Amino acid sequence: MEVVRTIDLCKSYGTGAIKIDALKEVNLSIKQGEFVAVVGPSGSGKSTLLHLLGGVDRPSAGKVVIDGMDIYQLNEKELAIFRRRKVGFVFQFYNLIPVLTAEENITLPILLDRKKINTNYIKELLDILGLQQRRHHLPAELSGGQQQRVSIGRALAYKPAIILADEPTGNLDSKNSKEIIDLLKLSVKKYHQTLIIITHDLAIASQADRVITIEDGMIVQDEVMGA
Amino acid sequence: MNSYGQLTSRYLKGQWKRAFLTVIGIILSVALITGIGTMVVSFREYEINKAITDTGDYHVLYPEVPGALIPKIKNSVGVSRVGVIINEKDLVISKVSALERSASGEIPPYRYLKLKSYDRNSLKMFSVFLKEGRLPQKPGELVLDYWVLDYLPGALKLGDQIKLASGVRYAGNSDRPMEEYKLSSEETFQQETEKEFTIVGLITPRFESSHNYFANGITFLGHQQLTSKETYNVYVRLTSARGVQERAEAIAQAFGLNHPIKYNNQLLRLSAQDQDSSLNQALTMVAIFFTLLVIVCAVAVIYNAFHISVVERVSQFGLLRCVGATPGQIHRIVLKEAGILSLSGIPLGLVFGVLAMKLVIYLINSLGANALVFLKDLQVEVSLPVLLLSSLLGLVTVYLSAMGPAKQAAKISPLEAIRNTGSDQKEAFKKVKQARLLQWIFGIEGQIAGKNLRRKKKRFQITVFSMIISIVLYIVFSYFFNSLFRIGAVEGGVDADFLLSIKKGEQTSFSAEQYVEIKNLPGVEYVYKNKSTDVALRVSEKKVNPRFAELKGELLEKKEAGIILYPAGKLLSYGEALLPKIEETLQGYDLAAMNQQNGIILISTNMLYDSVGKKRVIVEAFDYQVGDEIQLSIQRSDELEKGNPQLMTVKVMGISENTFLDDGYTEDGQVYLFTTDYVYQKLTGNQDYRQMAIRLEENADPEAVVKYLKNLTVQNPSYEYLDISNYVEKLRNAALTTKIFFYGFIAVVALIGSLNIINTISTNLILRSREFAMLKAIGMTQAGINKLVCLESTLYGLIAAIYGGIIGSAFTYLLSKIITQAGIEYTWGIPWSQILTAVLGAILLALFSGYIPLKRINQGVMIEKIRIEE
Ligand SMILES: Nc1ncnc2c1ncn2[C@@H]1O[C@H](COP(=O)(O)OP(=O)(O)OP(=O)(O)O)[C@@H](O)[C@H]1O
Ligand SMILES: [Mg+2]
Repeated sequence: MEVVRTIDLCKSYGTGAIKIDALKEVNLSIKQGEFVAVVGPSGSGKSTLLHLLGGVDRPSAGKVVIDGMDIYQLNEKELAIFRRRKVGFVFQFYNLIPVLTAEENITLPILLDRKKINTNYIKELLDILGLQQRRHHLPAELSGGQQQRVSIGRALAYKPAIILADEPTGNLDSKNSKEIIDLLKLSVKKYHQTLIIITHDLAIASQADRVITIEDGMIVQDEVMGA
Repeated sequence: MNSYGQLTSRYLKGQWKRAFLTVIGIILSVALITGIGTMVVSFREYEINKAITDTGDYHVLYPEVPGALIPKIKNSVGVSRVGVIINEKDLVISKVSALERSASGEIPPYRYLKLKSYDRNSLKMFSVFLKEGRLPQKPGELVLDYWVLDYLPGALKLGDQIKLASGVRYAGNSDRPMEEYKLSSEETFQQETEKEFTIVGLITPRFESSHNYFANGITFLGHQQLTSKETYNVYVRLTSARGVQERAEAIAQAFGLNHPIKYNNQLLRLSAQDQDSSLNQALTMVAIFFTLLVIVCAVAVIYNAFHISVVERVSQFGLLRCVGATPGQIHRIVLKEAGILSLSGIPLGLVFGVLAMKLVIYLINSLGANALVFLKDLQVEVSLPVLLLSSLLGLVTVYLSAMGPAKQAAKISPLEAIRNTGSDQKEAFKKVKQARLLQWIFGIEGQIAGKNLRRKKKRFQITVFSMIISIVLYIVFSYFFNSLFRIGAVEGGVDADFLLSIKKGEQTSFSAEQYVEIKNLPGVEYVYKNKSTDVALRVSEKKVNPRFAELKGELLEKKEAGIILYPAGKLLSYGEALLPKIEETLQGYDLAAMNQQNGIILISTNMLYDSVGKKRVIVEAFDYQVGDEIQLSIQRSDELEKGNPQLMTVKVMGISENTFLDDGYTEDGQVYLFTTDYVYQKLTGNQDYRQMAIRLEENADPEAVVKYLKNLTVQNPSYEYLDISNYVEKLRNAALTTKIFFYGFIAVVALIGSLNIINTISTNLILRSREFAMLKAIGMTQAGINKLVCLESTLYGLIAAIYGGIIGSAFTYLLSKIITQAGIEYTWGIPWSQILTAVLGAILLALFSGYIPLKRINQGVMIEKIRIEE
C-alpha cells in the first residue's frame, strides 16, 4: 500500500538571478513499511525533500499526498495535527526542549493532543532506548547519543505512520550510530512504520530496502536493495 | 507533566532568568502607573486640604437666605453640611491717635473690628488659626486678631469682658454707608448699640500691618438666634462635588432663592467641577496625554520583554511546531506565560510604585532644610482606586503587550527549528558595509560592535526603542513640571518677611544709619534697598518680539526711523543684598566689569493678558542678547519727545526671566534693568529709596524686628510697615511642597526610566553570553570584550538619544499647545537642558548596565556558556 506520493514536487528559493531550484519536479512513491535511504551530495536537495514530506515547509509547485491526503491543502492547524499524529522527525542536532526532562520531551506530541499517555508503551520505549535511568534528566545533562535517543523516542511516541530522519547519526560515533539505526529498524518492524532516512553513511544506506539518490534537485537513481 | 499547558510553567522555571527580566518589565510599568497615580492622588489630597484651609470646606454659598429656609436646605437631598455666617455691623476698637492721623493719606478716625458670627458648622468648615485660647462656643464669646489687644484699653487677657460700640460707617457726614474695607479720613461712625463680649481666643491673621484699621473678630451664632425675618449667608457642602452646578441651582429653585449663587471654585477645580470649562478641558487633556504616554510606554516596555523572550526561543517554538503543536497552542502557551508573569509582577509593581513614591518624598524631605515644617502637610496617600486601576491597567498592558509576541510565536515556521540548529539565532544576516570609521577609531572591537548593532536589527531596535522610551518619558515629564513652574503654578512669594516704607511726604529716603541699624537687628539676614527709577529705552523695532507687539502695541507707538522710544522701562538696584543673585545671573562678566561698563541684568519677560484669546501670555518683550547695548534716558518720556534726550548707554550682561525679589514675571509691558548701587548712582545721580524689604534668617525670632518697626511707626507715622512673614511662610511652604511633588514625580519617572534602560541593556548582554563566550574561545581578550560592550552601549545611548530627543521635543511642543489651551500661552523652545540630562543619563546608564553582566561573562566557565543552548 502506498503511503507517500509526490507529484511534480518543486521547491525553489529566491527569485531572478539568485533563484535556486532545490527540487525539480520530483515524483516519488513510497509503500507502507518501506525503509528508504536518501543519499546524494551536499546541497542536492535531500533535506528540502524531507521537509516537504513532513509538512514543515511549503512547496513551490506540485503536491505531497500522504495516506491519500494532499497535505498542502490543509490549513495550518490541520497540518500541525497531521504532523503530530502521522509524522515523527529526527534531526541531526537533537532539537530537544531544554526545560523538559527526557521523558517529557518524548511524550510532548501526545500532550499536545491532550491525550492520555499510554504509560506502558512509554515505559517500553524508554527501555528499548536505554533511557530508563535517565528519564528525569534534562537534555543538557545527557550525552549526544542519549539526546538523539530521546529525539527518536519523541518521534516514535505517537506511533506515527512515517518516520523522517535527517542525518540522525551525523553527530555520533559508529557504535552509537549502529544502535540508533537498529532502534529505528526495530520500531519500524514492530509497528509497521515507514522510515525515510537521509544519510551520508553507506553502511546505513546498505541496510535499507530502497536507496534513492538525489543530485541537483532531481532523483537520479532509485534502486531496490537485497532483491 | 500531564498537559502541554504545563510547558509554560516549565519555561518559567527552567529559564527563570529570562522570566525574571520580563517580570521586572512588568513591575516597572505597573510601578510607573502606581507611582504616578499615587502622586496625583496625594497631590490632589494636599491641594484639597489647602483649598479647604484657604477658602473653607464648602461648595456653594447662598447669600441672603431667609432664616426660615435654613433647616429646609439642611434637609435637602445631597446636602452634607450647612454653615451659617452673619456679617455683623462694625465695632469700634479705639480711636486712631492724632499723631497717626497727622500723616498724609486716607486715615479713618477709628480702628474697627469686622465681626462675623459663625454657627457651629461654620467653625468646622472654615479654618481659624488660633494663637491662644479656644474658639467661641456660645453667643457672646469672641475671638479676635491678637494685635487688637494693643489697641484696646487696659491690659486685657483671655477670659476678660469687653464692651464695644456697634454701628455703621458713613462717608463724610452723608447717610451713604462706606464701602467695606475702603478708608477715608472724612468718614464718620454712627453708633447704634453697644455689645458685650468675653474674649476666649486670639487669632493669627494672614496679613497684618501696623496701620491696619480693620481687625477680624468671630463670635458664636446659636441656631435659636436665627429669625425668619432676617437673611443669612448659607455655606453648603454637598455630598459630592459632581454636577455641583445643577444640584446647587435645583436647591435654589426649590426654595426660591434668587440671589446669585457663589461657588468655591478653588475647591471645585480640584474635582474638575469649577465654572471655567476651558480650563477643565485642558486639564482633562493633560491628564489624558500623560495617561496615554505612560500606557504606551508601559506597553512598550513589557512588549519588549516578551518580544525578546519570544525571539530568543524561535527555535524552540519551531520545534514544538515540528512535533505538531498548532499555532493556537503556541499562542496559548505564550499568553499563559504572560498571565503567570503578571500575577507575580503586578502586586510587586504596586508595592514598588508606592514605595518609590515614599522613598522619593522621604529622601527629599531629609535633604530639605526645615523638613519638619512641611512634613505634616505632605503625605503619600495610598489609595485603593489607584491600586485597582494600576492592576487593571497592568493586566491590560501585559495582555496587549503579549498579544503581538504570542502571534509572532504562533507564526513561527517549523523550519526555524531545523535551520537554527547549532548555529546562531536566526536573524536577518544581511551583508553590512564595513564599519570603517568605527574600525579606524576603535579597532576590531569597534568593527564588531558596529556590525552587531546593524546586523542584529531586531534586537538592536528593541534595545534602542526601550531606551528611547525612557528618554522621552524623562524629557516630557521634566519639561512639563518646568513649564508649571514657568507659568507660575508655584508661587514662591516675596523673598522678605517685612516691608518698611516711607509714605509720600517730606522725607525722600531712608538714611544710611537707618539701614545699618535695621541690618544689625538680631535675626535679620539681609535688607534690600528698593531703588527704582522709570526710564525710557531706545529700542530698535527689529528687537521687538512680534507677539509682544500684538499685545502691547500702545507702548510701541512713539518711534522715529525704526527706533522706538519705549516708556515702560525701570532701572532698579536693590543694594548689596541682591549682589549674590545678580552675580549668578551674569554671563561671562563679573561685578567689577558691571560697575565699569554700566552692566545691567535684563528682565523683559512679561505676563500679559490677551483679552481676545482670553488667556494669559508669557512673552519676552525684546530680543536682546548678552553683550548688546541699550540706550536709555531717565527723563520723562514727554520731555524726551520735545528735545534731544540725554542718552546713556548700558550693556546687557545677563538675562533673567524672573524678577529677583518676588520671583515672578513683570507685568503691563514693564522691562526691568537691574544693576548695582554704583551704576545706579552713576546713571541717575540719585541714591534715594523709600522702601526696604527685610528678610529674616531661617527660624529666627521676629520679636526684635517687630518691636523696632512698631516703635518706629508709632513715633513717626509717615513710616509704614507690613508684616508678611506668616503669609510668605505659608507660600514658601506651599511652593516647597509643590516642588517636592514635582521633583518627586520627575525622580520616579527618572528612576523607572533608568531601571528600564538597565534592564534592557543587561538583558541584551545576558542573552548573548554564549556569543561572548565564543568570542573569548576564539581568542578575544577580556579587555577586548569590555571594550566591545562599552562601545555598543555608548552607540545604543547615542542613537537612542537622537531619536529620544527629537520625539521628546515633539511631545513637549504638543504639551505646550495643550497648556496654551488651558489659558496660559508661553514660548516653546527645544528643551535642551532636559535633553542633555536625559542623554547623558542614558549613556552613563547604558555603560553601567553592561558592568554586571560583563563581570559574570568574564567570570563564568566558558564551555558551559557555549554549551547552553538557549
Ligand atoms: N532557506 C534557504 N534559502 C535559500 N536557499 C536554500 C535555503 N535552504 C536550502 N537552500 C538551498 O537549497 C539547496 C538544497 O538544500 P538542502 O538543504 O536540501 O541540501 P542537502 O542535500 O540537505 O545538503 P546537505 O547534505 O549538506 O545537508 C542548496 O543549494 C541550498 O543552498
Ligand atoms: Mg541536509
